[in-house]
Amino acid sequence: MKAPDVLDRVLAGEPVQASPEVRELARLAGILQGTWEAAPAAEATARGRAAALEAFGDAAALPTMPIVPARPTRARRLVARMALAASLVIGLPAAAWAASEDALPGELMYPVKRAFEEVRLALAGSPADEAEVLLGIAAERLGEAAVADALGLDDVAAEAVAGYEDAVGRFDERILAARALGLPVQGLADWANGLFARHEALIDAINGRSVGPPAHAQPGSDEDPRGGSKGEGKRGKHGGKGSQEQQPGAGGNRGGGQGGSDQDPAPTGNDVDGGAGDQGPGKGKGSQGKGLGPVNDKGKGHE
Amino acid sequence: MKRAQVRQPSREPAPKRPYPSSSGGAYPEEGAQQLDGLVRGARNGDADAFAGLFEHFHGPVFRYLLARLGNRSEAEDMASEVFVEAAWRVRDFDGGGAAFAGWLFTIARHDLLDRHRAQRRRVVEPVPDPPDLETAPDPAEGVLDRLDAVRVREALERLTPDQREVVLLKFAAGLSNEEAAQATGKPIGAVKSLQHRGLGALRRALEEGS
Repeated sequence: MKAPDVLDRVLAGEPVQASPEVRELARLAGILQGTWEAAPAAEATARGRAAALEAFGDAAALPTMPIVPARPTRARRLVARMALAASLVIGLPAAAWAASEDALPGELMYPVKRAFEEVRLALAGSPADEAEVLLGIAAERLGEAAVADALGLDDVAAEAVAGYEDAVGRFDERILAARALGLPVQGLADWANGLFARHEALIDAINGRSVGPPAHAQPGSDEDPRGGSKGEGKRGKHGGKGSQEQQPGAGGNRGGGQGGSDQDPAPTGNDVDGGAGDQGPGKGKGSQGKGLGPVNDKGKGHE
Repeated sequence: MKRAQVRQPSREPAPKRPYPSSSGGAYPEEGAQQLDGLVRGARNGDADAFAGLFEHFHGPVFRYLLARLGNRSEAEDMASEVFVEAAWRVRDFDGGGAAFAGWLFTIARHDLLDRHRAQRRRVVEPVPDPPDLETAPDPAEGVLDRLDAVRVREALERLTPDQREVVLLKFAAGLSNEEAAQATGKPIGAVKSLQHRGLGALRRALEEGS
């Protein structure tokens, strides 16, 4: 047995044969232990204990870092925009993209519009981000349905409504995926449910089972489903609360409403009435979206 | 962290510690499972579990720091800082009781290193504190019987850093071989060798300095 092992066994109190040198080292170890035998003052122990437990509590109060950020950072949004711009340059002429903005199902540029939506979805960084994008896509489909309905294009409206249902279904899937990852999406889900309840009334109106016919507007006015200003839509970012809630219809202003700003903070609950023109979570298209008309505030929640 | 301004020189009787062994550790009478449970609880945010870990390890951490620093007040303050740091980071810790001991003493060693670096940057050398633990010299006693903390600390400086670390972790803090291995990042066999060579070198240093 090697000397270090013998010493260790002697130190452990085991009955082993050891040389005088090893026993002397063991004796030194015992003396060292006695030399260093000390305890902190009770006051210092209490103070240290309190400080440590306070720090422990402070650390516990910090939010758990999500696996991936629930909200895109400014840098990520910039990267996404650059990637989107690059994809435009490489794959899609800018003019075609702009032309596709107003496309309805069945029109030539409609596949381009849908392709861009998939690009936005692909650029989303997490299931929560994807859910936000899908919420915008659902609103886009509903806007298309409202416009088609206002134009009397029933087949187009039906196709758009089917696209809406598809987007809502995919939104649900991403919410579930985000929850499975522990991402904080309850606010987004609640906000979306309120939105979906309002959408329900509009879909009923489009399908002819509504509480009333769509409130078609005069051409050229802000309610004109195909024309109108490039400004804020009928239900822009903060519009449409109050008495207008009982006016289903297609506020198809091409310039207004959808999406608000990419810089929008997380849904707060103060911004639940926006229809397609109120993207809240920030994946909208800025000032280029459609503004849905006010919708009836009835209907079932989505979940 | 703010240092204590006034400190009463109260001396609490030190708890009786068992001899360190390869299977023991800082508190070998405590079951390893209990310690593992405390560590698991602390990682899950249980403040009582973390308080239990504090009770287990505060004394050993203090003794280790006192042996290194030679100043009770500083050792007490630094021991507190070690546990504050551990409180912030324990949720990221992954391991059982022995690994936790090693992790905790690694924090203490890093704090000592930071302090040492800070002191080296200062122009004015700190005035050494008077020895805390004094023994009355008796000419009839041998070298080892006339040890005091100051002499031991001076002799420790003659050891290699690894030898010094193992000697302090084993005989000041009372860690087991496994815990010392975790704290130093060395295999248990290397810890035993360093223990043997470190004690031998310390003995020679004490005899030469007597």
